[in-house]
Amino acid sequence: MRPGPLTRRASLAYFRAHPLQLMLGVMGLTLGVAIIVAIHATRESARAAYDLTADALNGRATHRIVAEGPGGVPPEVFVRVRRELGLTASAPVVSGSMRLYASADAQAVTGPELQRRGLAVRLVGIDPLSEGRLRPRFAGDAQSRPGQSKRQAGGKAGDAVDNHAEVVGADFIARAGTADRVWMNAATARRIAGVLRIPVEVDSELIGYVAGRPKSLRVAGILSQASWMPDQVLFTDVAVASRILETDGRLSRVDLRIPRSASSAALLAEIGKRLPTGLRLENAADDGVDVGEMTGAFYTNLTALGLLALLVGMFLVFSTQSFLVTQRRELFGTLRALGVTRSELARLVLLEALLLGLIGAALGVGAGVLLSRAMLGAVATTLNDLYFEVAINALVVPPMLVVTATTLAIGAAVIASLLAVWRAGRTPAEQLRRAAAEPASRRAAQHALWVGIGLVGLSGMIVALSGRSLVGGFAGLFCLALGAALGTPALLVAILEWLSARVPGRLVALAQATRLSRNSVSRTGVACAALMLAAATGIGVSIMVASFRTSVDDWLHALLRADLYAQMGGADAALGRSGFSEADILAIERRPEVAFVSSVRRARMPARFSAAAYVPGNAVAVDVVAYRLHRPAFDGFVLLEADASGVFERFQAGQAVMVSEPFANRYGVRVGDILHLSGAGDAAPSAAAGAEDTVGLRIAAVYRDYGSERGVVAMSRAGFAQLSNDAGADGLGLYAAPGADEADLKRALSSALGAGLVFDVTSSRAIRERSLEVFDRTFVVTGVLRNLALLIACAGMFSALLALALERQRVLATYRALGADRALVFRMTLIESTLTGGLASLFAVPVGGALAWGLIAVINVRSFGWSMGVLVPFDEVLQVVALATLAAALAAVVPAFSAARVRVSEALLYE
Amino acid sequence: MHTNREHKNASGAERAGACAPVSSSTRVPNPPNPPGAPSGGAPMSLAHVVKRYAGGRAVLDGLDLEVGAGEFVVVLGRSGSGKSTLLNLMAGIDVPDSGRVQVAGSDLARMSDAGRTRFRRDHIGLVFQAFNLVPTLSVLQNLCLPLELCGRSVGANMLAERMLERLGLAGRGSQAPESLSGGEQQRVAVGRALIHSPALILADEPTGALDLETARVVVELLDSMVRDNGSTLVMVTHAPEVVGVADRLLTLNAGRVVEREVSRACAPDR
Repeated sequence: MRPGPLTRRASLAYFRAHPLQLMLGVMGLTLGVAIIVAIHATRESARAAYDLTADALNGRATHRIVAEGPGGVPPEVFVRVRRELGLTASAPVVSGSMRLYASADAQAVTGPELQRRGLAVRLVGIDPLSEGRLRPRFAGDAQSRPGQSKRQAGGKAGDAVDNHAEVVGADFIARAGTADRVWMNAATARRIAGVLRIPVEVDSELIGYVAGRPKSLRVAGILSQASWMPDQVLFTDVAVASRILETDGRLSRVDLRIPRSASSAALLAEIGKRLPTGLRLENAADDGVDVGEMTGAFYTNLTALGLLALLVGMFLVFSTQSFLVTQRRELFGTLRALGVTRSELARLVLLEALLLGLIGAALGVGAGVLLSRAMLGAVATTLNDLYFEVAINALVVPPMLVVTATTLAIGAAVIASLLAVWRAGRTPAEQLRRAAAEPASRRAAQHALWVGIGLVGLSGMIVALSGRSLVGGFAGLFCLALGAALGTPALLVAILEWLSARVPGRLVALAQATRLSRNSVSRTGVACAALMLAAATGIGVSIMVASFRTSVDDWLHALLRADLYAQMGGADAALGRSGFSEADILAIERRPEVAFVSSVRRARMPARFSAAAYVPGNAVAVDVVAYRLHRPAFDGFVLLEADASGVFERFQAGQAVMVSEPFANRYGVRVGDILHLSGAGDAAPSAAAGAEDTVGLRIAAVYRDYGSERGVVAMSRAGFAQLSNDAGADGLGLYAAPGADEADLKRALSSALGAGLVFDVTSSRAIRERSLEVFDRTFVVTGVLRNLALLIACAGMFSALLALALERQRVLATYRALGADRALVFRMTLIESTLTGGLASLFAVPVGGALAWGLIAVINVRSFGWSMGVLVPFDEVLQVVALATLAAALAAVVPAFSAARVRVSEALLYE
Repeated sequence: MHTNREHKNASGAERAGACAPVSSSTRVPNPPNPPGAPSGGAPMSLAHVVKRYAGGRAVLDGLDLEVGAGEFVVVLGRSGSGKSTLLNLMAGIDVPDSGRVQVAGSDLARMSDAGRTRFRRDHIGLVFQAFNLVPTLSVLQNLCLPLELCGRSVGANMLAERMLERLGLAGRGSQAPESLSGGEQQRVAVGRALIHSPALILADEPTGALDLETARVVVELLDSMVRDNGSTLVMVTHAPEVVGVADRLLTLNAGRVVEREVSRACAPDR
C-alpha cells in the first residue's frame, strides 16, 4: 500500500516548515552531481569540438595518402591518382599550424615571447574544384544545395544543413588563389578579435607567423551560420596554403573516397602498389589520434577527484537524511500510532529521497553546466598545450550524462535514506532521542571503524591483484578513501574522550565544547568524515601535483644540457621541409663557438617484441627518436633501469636502444628484451612483415621521460641509419665552447646555416619555464575542483552544526538557564566545530598521504606510465589543514549565533 | 511602576557599566557564597508586573508579590495561568513588559541579558519538571556545571562527590543521566541547583514527571537541603504533598496573585 495523501501531506508540511533542512538535504547531492557533470560535460565538449574539426577536415574521405617521413606528398601523386586510376573522389590537402598576431605584436616580439602571445590556428588548404565528393560544402558542386539531407551535404550527423554551402563554394572558386585569402566561421573571427584586440571583418589583414616569418593574410569571408565549420581553423586554397606554410608545393595528404565494394580491395592494393617509396595509403578513420585515449590521462586525475567529491556528497546526504528521519520521530510515531505501517513509512521516506534526488540532480546538472562553462577555457588551454589545437566554444551535455547524473543523485539519496531508515528502525523509540542514541552511535562508529579497516585492507588487495588495470586502481583508491572516512568518527570520539578528561574546568568554553562534541558523534561524525575526506583529497592532490612538478623540473633540468636549442618552426612536420641536414649539423659544429651539436629526429616505425606480453607476434607502430649525442648529453638521461655497463657505448654503436618508462610500462618490456624495428615504413604491418627490413636491438635501459604518454624508443643515429636513409634532424642542441655565450651561439648558427633556413632558437631555461607554465596551467582545473570538494565539506559541516544547534536547543537553554551567557554558548559552539574540524583535518594528513601515494604510484603509473618521486609540500599541506579547520570554524558561525540566541523560556517549555 | 522607556535606559547603562547601580532600586548583587556554605535567603519583590504574550494577551497583569528571605512559597494555578512565566521573570530568563522584579535588592527587569545571566549564575538555582540534565555530560559533570560556570572549578569534583553522597547516589557520578531513573535524575537536578549555594531556588513543577512516592522523596530532599542552606524557595506545582510543606501558598488567577491559607497541621517545622 502506498502512503496515503494525508501522510504525504504531513511529510510535506514538515519540509514546508523547515525549508532550510530541505535545502541542506539537496545541497550535498547538488554539489556532488555538479562536479561529475562538469568534468564529463567538459570532456565531451572537447571531444565534440575535436570531432567537428576532424569531420570538417576529413569530410567523407575513407582513405588518404600520406608521407612516411617528413617529406610530404609530391603534388604529382594527386595528379596520377586522378588521371591514371580515375579516382575523381580525391582531393589534395595542405594543412599546418600558425600563430596569428596583431600587426604591432608581430614586429615587436621574438622568441619565446612570440610563443606566449598571439593565437594558434590551423590553416587548411583545399582545392574547391576537387572537393565535390569529399567536402561538398566547400565546392561549387550542384550536389550541395540548401535543404538537402545532411549526408548529401557531407556534414556532421545532427547538423542542420547550412544555407551558406553554395556561397562558400562559389566564393572559393571565384576568389581563392588570387591572393592570400582565408575563410573562417564567425566564432573564430570573434576569438581572433578578442585575443588580438583588432577588428576582424571581411578584408581585414591578419599577420600569421610561420617558421619565424610573418605572412600576411586577408579575410575573404566570415560565415555567420556555418555551424559545421570548425573553430580556430582558417580555410584557403591549397596553393595559398602551400605558399604560406612554405611546403614547396608538397601536400600534407591526398584524401580519397573509396566506398567498400567488391572491387575496393583490388583498387586499394593497386594504389598501394603504385605509390612511390616513402608514401603510404592509410584508412581515414585511423588518423592516429584517438581523442579518448589521448586525453584520457589528462582526465584521469579529474575523474579521481570527481569520484572523491561524489563520495563526500554521499556522506553528506546520509548525514542529512538521518537527521530528517530522526527529527520527525514524533511525527512518525504519531503516524504509526494512527495505523500507518512500518513499510508505508519506509516508502514515504523513499519517496522523499526520490524527490530530493530529482531536485538535487536537476540543480546539480544546472550547476555542473555552469561549472563546466567556467572550466572550458582552462581545459581548452591545457588541451592546446598538450594535445591538439581545439577551440571549445559549444558546451555539450549528452543526454546520457544527464540520465547518469540523475540516477547517481537518486541512488545516493535512496541508499542514504535506506540506511537512515534501517538505523532508525533498529533503534527503540526511546533511543531515537539523540542523547540516548549516542551510545548506539558510538557502537556504530566502532563497527564502522572495523569495516573501514577491512576496506583499507581490501584496497591494498585490489591494487595488488589488479595488475595494470586503471579501473582496479580507481577501485583501490575509492576503498581506501571510504575506509578512512568510515574510521574517522571512532577516531574522533577516542581523541575527544581523551581531551575532555584532560581539559581543566576553568577553561569553561573549551571544557564544555569537548564534552559536548565527544557526545555529538551521531550528528557531527559523518560531517567530519566528509570534511576529512575533502581535506585528504586536497592534500593528496597537492602532494601528487607537487611531486609531479618537481619530478618534471628535475627531469628537464637533467635533460636540457645544451646551451641553445634550435628547431624548425611553424609548418607541420609532415610538410615539405626535411629539417636540418647532416651538412648543416657539421657546418655548425665547425664553428669555434660551438663545442658539440646534438640532434633529434622523430619517426614512427613498426616494432615487435621478443619477450613482450603486448600483442605477441604482431607489430605495433611506435614512436622512435634518433639522437646524435655525446657523453655529457647522454648523461642527461635519467636511467631507471639499465644494463650493468657499456650502455652508452652500445647505444652509440647502434647495437642497443633505450625505451622510455611509459613505453616499458605500456608494452611490458624490460632491460634485456629484444625490440625488432622495421624500416619498411608500414605503420599497420602484419606479422608477415619482411624480415630483411627488420633490425633486432637489445633494450639496454629504461629512462625517465615525461614528454610522451605513449612512450618512445630512443636510439642513436647509427642505429637509425640501419633502418632509414633519413639523416636529417628536427631539432638541434648546441653546446657552447669555453668562453662562448648564448649570443655567440646564435651568431654561429645564423652564419653556419645562412638565410635559407628558418628556425626558432630557445635557451634551455626558456624551454623549462615554458614547460612548467604548461604544467601549471594543466593543473588549474584540478585545483579548482579540490577547493570545490572542500566547499562541499564546509557545507556539510554547516548543515551538521545547524542541525545540531536545532537539536540542542533544550540543552543550550539549560546552559543559559544555569548561567552560561550568550558569548559562552557562542564560543562553545565555535570551539566545538573548530576542534572537530581541526582534528578531522589533522587525520586527513596521513590519509591524504596515502591517497597521494595511490595517485602517484598506482593511478598515474597505470594511466600515464610515469613514476615519480614523492615530495610533500608542507606549506600546501598546512594550507589545506588550516583551510579545512577555518572552513569548519566558519561553518559554525551561523549555528553558533543560532545557539547563542536560543529562546531560553520557549526551549525549556517545550519537551 | 517603570515605563518601557525607563527600562531601556537602564539596560543601556547596565551594558555600559556592568553591575554598577543605576538607580536606587538596583544594587550591586552580593558576591556568591562559597560552595557548601549556607547562603542565607534572598528577599524578592515583584511590583506592578505586566507580561504579555504575542497577540497582546496579558498573562501577568499588574502582579505584586513579596517573598521574604528564607521563605518557602508555593505558587498554584491552572494551566496557562502564568506560573512558569512568573518563574522565568524571577530567574531573569525573561523580562516583564513593565513593572519591577527585585531579587536581593537587584532589579532584574532593568539589567541587560548578560547582567541577568551573571546574576542567575551566581545567585539562583533552578529545578525543572523535565530535570533538564545535560545529556552529554555525566552525572558528576552535571553537578560541577554551575561551579564551572561560576568560575569555581577548583575543588568542584570533590564538592560534587560530596553532593552525590548526600543525594544518595554515591558512586554513580560517571553514569550518563539517561541511565538513571526519573527520581534519581530529579535528585541530581536538585543537587545541581544547590551545589553553588544560591540565595534563591526556583522550582518549576519538580515532581510533575514523578510518581507519588518518588515525588515525596524529592520534595523532602529539596526542602531539607534548602532549609540547611537557608535559601529562599519558590515552587510552582500542582502536587498536594508539597502544599503542606510550604510557608505560604499563592494562587495565580487572572494574572494576579491571590494569597491562600496554609494548613499548618501538614507543615513540618522550618
